[in-house]
Amino acid sequence: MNIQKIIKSAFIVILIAAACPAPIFAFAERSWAFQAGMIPAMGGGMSSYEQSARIGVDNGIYGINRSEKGKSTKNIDQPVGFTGGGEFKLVLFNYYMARVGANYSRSIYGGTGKSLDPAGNIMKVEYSLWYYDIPLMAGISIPFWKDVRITLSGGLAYASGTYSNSFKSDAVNSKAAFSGWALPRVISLSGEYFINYDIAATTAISYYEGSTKVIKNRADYAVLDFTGYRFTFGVSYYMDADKSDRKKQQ
Amino acid sequence: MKHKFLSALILAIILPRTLHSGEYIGLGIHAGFHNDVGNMGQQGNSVIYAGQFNGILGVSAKIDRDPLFIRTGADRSMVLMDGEVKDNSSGELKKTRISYTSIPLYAGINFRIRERGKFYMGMGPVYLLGNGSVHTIDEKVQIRDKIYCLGFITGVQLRVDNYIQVYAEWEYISARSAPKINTDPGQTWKDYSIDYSGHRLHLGFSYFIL
Repeated sequence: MNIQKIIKSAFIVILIAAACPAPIFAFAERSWAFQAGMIPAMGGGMSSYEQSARIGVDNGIYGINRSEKGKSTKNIDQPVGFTGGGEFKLVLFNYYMARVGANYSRSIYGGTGKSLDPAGNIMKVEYSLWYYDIPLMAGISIPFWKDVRITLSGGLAYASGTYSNSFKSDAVNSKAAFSGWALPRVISLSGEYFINYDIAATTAISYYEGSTKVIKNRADYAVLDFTGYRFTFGVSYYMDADKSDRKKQQ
Repeated sequence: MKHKFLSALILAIILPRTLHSGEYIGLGIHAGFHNDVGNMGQQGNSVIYAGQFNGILGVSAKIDRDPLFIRTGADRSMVLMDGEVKDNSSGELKKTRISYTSIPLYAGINFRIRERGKFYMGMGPVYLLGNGSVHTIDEKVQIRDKIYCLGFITGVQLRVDNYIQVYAEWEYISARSAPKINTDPGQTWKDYSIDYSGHRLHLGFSYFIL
């Protein structure tokens, strides 16, 4: 059984757990959460073979910007992404946590502009990407009084998506899309502030690290890089809150 | 006029101490550092370099209305160790001396750690003013940047007494300038951008005036 199947199986098991009646989970609290936020720098370097061979840029978006006096270039910024999704959590024995989620992320700002091709012509540049991921994590979750829970967790995610680029000038015309999957490592620090006994406002900082194998598209080669930070705000709902009176946790 | 101003200032400092601090508005001062300023490694995998290291001195103002907070301030990042390319692996680029001032406006959620303090996480826009210099084989180019970018912060503040708290913060900002210098001797264009992205760590104390 490969790791993709293991993650998908775990996803199904946890969804079944979510549907089970509460008495089966005497040792656990179940929670659903929904969150949305930003990825300040998405996609890593986004380098590709064509950028290196035809434009002379080995480090992708980090080196794509060129400017010269008298030529109207426009800076190409690292894409900023939107991310949103949901997750199911099990808080086990009050201090341990297992969770599975599903998130969708896409670039919404940056990644486009005008640079110069090797001949000095104005070159229109576009980078964009989207992906979804299914993180599977476990960690420590510490309650502080009845109204706060702070969690540190880590694990793996199944991530899949597409990175597209386009370079157009009088001398260069290159366009490619690279689709693939990977299993990035994930670490997450999150906090929950209980607004009442079963609903909490949440924030989380997550770091994903990992990229696909080299993907071929027409004559071009590149990887899809999932590496980067995500900052999210959200809401979580504790299904079994009535059986675990938070006041007893003080 | 001068006396009135001084009296008002003294009252502003003393009066809140007569009340129990609500931990609503904290004014802080901190020191910290930012390693590998400029992220020279992104120039390519083969670049052999010593990363630039900056020290940070900053002030902060944090308004708490639990569970929410707003935090602003100003950080001055100053060169402690130059960035240096050790060979010709990055073209003409030889040395960086990048400084900057960042003015963030973060909003987020406070998580109270019993009566000892708070853990907080927030994000928001950052206005960054870059300066300093970048050195090539032939010339020294002065930098002047004004960049709007995004960042996030997470920190812990611990109570020393009713008014004073110590805090430690981790801040991440993502920002990159337009090209500043030419590193390719065969071309006339500028192709090296200053990357201000990276992690900052702060350690300081704050005084809660309200």
